[in-house]
Amino acid sequence: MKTTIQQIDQQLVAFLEGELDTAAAVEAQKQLKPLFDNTTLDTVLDCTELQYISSSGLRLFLSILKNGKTNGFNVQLKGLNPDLVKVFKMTGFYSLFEIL
Amino acid sequence: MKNKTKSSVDHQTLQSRYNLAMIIFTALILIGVFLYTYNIAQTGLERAVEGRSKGELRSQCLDLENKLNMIEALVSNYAREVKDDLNDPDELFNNHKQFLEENTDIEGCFMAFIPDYFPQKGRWFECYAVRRDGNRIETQQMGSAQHDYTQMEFYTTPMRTGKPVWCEPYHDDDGAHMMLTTYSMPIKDDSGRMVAVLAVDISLDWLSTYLNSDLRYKSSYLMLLSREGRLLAYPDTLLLNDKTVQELDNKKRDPKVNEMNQRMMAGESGMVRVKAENGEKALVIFKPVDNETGWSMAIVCREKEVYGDLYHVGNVLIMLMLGALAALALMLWYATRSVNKLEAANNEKRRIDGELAIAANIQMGMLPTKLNKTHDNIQVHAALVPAKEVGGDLFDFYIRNEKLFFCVGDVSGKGVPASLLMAVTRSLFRSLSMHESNPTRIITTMNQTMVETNEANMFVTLFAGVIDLPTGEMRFCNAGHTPPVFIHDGQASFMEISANLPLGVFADFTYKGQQLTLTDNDAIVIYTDGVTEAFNSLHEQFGEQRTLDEMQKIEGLAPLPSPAQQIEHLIHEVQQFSGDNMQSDDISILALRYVRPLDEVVLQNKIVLPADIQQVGRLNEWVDDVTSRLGADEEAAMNLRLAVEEAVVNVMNYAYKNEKNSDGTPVQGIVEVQAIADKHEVVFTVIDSGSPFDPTAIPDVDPTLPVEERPIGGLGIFLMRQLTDSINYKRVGEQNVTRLRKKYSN
Repeated sequence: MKTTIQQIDQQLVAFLEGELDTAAAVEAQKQLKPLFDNTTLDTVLDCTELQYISSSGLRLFLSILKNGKTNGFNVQLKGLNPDLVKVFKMTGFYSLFEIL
Repeated sequence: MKNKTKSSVDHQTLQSRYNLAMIIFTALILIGVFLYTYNIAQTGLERAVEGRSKGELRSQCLDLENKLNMIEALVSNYAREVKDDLNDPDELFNNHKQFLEENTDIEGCFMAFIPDYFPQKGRWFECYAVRRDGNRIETQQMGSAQHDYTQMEFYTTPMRTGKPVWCEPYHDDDGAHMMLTTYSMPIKDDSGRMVAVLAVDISLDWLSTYLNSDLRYKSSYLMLLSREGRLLAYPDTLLLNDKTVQELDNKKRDPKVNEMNQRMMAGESGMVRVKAENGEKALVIFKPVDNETGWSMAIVCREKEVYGDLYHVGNVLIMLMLGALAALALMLWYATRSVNKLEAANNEKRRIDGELAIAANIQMGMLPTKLNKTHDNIQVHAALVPAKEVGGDLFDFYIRNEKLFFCVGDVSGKGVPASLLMAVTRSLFRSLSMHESNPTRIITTMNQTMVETNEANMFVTLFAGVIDLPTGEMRFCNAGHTPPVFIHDGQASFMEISANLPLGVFADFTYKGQQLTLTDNDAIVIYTDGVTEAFNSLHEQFGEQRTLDEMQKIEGLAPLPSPAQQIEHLIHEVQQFSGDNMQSDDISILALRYVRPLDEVVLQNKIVLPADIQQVGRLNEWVDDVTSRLGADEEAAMNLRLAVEEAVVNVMNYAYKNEKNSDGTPVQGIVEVQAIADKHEVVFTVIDSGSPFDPTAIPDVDPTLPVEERPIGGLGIFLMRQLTDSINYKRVGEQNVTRLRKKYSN
């Protein structure tokens, strides 16, 4: 699991690569700390290279989304593969996020 | 036991005393009523008798007075005739003879002259005519020294007083030779000197007959008493003589009779009750005859005859009374016996009730509470909620030769007969199914046996089934029982049931069997009509639709309910529905859930990991390895990886959370995951030794909630359910065992 955060224009973009399983989610939570500190910029979670996500990963996404809602910026998802779309739809997350 | 007998004896003695008191009391009342009635009747009758007797006496008195007046008048007229013959004594005989011929009531007639009146006839001359033997009339001269009439009353009294007189009765020994009374009057010659007395004899026989000839009432008679107390008239003429009643007195006579005689002689009127010498009682009313005679007449009413009817009625009343008392005694005896019987029956009933309670416990003890052996492919549970009265519900289930045998039945009626038949039915099922695996044949044989021995015309509805546990093939036969609820693919419906008669109706009835194949997680709920026919306060039935709805409702709840939970839910709903209405029938429910086993195992593997989420990577690699070896498609592989990860992470996060070593450090737990698969399905089993933890008991998240309301947790179990076909959890010994099952290919 590899996470990279870049500021592109006025957006924070997090690139998530590999498998976001429970163990990885613990690690990812630390690496994505800037996203939780951010209070102004719209955020994009780029999942193009994300292969897998467990409930821990979903909870992480939900926390970021709740932070955005609290501070009044958007959180967008980008590049979900079809398997992940199924998981997102199954849990109702697909309708919570803005999908690019 | 000794005390019981004693108290029973005391009770009987008390009862007998009560009965005796009752009879005596009733007898006293009856006697009182009898005496009162009798008294009133007697008084009434007395008054009537008195009244009519007084009337009778008055009229008879009057009649006698008339008769005497007539005789006096005759004598008076005749006296004028004989005055012309005072000088011709011989002619007087002819006159007398003629007089007697003309007046048949008169017995004799004579004329006695003062001594030496006819010197040629001697000192005494009494010319006498008398009736003999009917109408022949004899005449003779009676006066002589032996028959010195100048000393006799008929002569002395008129001569002394110058007035006529009725003489005391006497027996005429010389003339008529019978009892007579004589009326005599003085005869004067032209110078006014008393020269003779003219007299007529009246026979007392005739007088008695005359007086008593036309009495209106046969129960009474008349008697006539002279001034000095001699009987002048009496029905029994043999009793007439010239003795006075005083002279006739003897010690035996009722003193009242003497008193009465005195009063009669004194010319009084009155009424007395006397007792005759023969013991007979009589009412006597007397009054003086209203003329110169000084006689007194009495009417005598014999009570025996007067009160004859009253005595008769009295006797009948006494008989009736005795009869009524006897009937009462009989009734009391019978009632006492009945009460004793009833009490004995009550005691017997209490004893039977007590024994029945024990019997009911024994029966409940006969019903299985759990399977005789556990089997991975089946979960069974059954419960019976007994009604107040002993009922006839039954169920049975057990495993033999990899087969589950089960039945649910309901005996018609309630009470002892139903419970006995219930025991018989359950025993029959158990014994027959020991050697026979076809439920239709079991039911057919049960039916034949029960018809043969069914003397009470009772019947039993029974659902019997046999499930082959490895294959899920279920054969069943429904003998008139309510269709069970069948839950397949999460959908509850009533089973299609062939119409068969209940057991115990026709011996040669052909029962139709049915069969179906159970798939994984299919459930069957069999119940008795205690469920559907439970009433609420509005007299509505719980009904089949509610039963079906409730089973559907609990099936929809996560986790998938166990048979025990299904039964608990249904009983709870029925009891809620009934409220305070008393449960009138047994409620019996048997529920089973089938867990289909895998076919031929193509893969078996396992991994043991420390309970640490850093191990999740290893777990996922292992799951990927399993799915790739099975040739699962990409989607199934990912779903399985996600589901297994969620199950294991749950264990890692929660199972050992509160487990501490003796030095206080957290326990490093172990998680074992087994994989087993056939060609189509794979089962992952997660096993840990942590504290009891049922992941299926965690509530589901609602995926439709908006982000603000979405809780952070609860996603794991939700995903597990969504991504697998079934999840089962059970605590086995000290271990939690969670099984995830999923089809990975067709």
